[in-house]
Amino acid sequence: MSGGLFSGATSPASLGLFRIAYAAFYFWHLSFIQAGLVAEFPVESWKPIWLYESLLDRPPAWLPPLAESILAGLLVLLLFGFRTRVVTTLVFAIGFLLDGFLQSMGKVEHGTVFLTTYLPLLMTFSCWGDAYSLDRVRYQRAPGPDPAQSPANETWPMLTILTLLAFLYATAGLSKWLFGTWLSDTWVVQKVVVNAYERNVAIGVAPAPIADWMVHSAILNQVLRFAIPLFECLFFLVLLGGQFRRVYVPTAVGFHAVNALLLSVTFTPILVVYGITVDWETAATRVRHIVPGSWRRSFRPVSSIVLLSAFAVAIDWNLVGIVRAAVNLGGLLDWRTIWIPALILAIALAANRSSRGERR
Amino acid sequence: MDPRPFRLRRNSSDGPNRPHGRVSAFCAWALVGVVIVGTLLTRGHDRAWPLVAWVMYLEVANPPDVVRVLRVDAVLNTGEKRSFFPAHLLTPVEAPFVHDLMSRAFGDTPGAGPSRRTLVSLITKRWPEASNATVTGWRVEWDRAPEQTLNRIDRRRPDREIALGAFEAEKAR
Repeated sequence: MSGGLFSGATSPASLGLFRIAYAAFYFWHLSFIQAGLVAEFPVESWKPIWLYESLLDRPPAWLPPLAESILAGLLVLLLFGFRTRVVTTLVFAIGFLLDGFLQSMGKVEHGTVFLTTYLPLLMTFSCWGDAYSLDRVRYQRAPGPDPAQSPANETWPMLTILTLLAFLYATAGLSKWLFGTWLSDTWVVQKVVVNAYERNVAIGVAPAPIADWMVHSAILNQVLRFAIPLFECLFFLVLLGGQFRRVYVPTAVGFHAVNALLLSVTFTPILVVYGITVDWETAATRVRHIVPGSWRRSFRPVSSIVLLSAFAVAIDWNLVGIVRAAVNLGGLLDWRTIWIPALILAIALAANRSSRGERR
Repeated sequence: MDPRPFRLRRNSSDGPNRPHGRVSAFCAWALVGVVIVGTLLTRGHDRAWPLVAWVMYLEVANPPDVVRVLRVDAVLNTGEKRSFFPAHLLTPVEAPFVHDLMSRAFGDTPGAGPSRRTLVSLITKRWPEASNATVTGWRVEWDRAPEQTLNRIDRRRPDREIALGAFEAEKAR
């Protein structure tokens, strides 16, 4: 059925499960966004991206929170695969509009571009609504073969996303060597760690237990000074699949997790992108026995209830906020703490790969 | 009239979300090309978003001799006080926004009024009782060893606290 856990989301079923993971992640991510602040911040904070430069002033006060509420409702529809292609297009359009506003407030956050723009835009063309969706239920009623059972795999959704990811990783790695000081400054890694630690403690982020030896270890500094840009430059190897992807993906997640937990340098929105490298159908098969069969059979989403839920979520999002608070567990599961389960998962996947290698 | 106006019709190869496989793949790859070429042409300039390159941490400055940060204290009539650092009012990622906001709120710039209003809005989201508080801004400093060592900063015990000004939250709203 598959070439392993990291053979990628290529089948309709696997892409369908990835769609659910993406929608759930974006929903959680959105719970931390306070779009209303775009209008509340003083006009001096408004430094528009080039696309928005024609807007003389900030957007009207009602627009960002309204867009945010609609987006929350759309993500519920995407989660359940309701009119997936149309909804994906709207998720892209509204997410792009909203993120553009947030990027125009003086500091561009480089991590959100996949979540809000590239991924939904590319997935508009994909078949990620063909399985595990209300579209499929609707479609099964029509005559003809079931597309969710199609044996034809589509690799281009994964390959296009990984190509973009590899390109951006390459810009990160090459720029450190070509335009930065990573080749000449022998203590560059130490300075990153010291600056990030002290700045974060000062601005009120809970300090991470950084060992002094980490900062003072000349060997570690020298190794990381070359290893980090090299790792970034060679990220394109994930496109080859096989062992490269099995090594690279957990390592990349572990790298982000260490940065987030140790330095509070979070790149959290990128986490969901790595999900495209997972064969979700294989993963689901492994965990399926945990969910009682009666539960699985009894879960039959109904369009009208899903539509009603999406509407309720959109209304609640900025007026009451119960769903928003519930999604991030009252703030417990934040931009940083989500890397704890992510790190555990990355270690488990790496260990699983090692033990399989030993058994062979 | 067809009782099922939304009834789907399909052929053997196309699904509801897969009308034209090859066309879709071509469009997706074309978009990837546009993004890569666009990012190279704009040199990944931040304001060219979403055509941004990941050019972060190219040059890393030496750790400064003094670590400086802004803080606001909200004090109620009862004497109850709460302190907020930038990362307490929004996420750590958005902390620079709040830092800028605090700088302007206690300055003599034209943006001070709106900045104070936004700052009070952020504080009252965390502590609703603060709508009647006196808000005081502080620049807090810690001296650090000049060599590149990891300084254990105790947030509760800064080396210096310099008052930047104060205002009534009620008047700022």
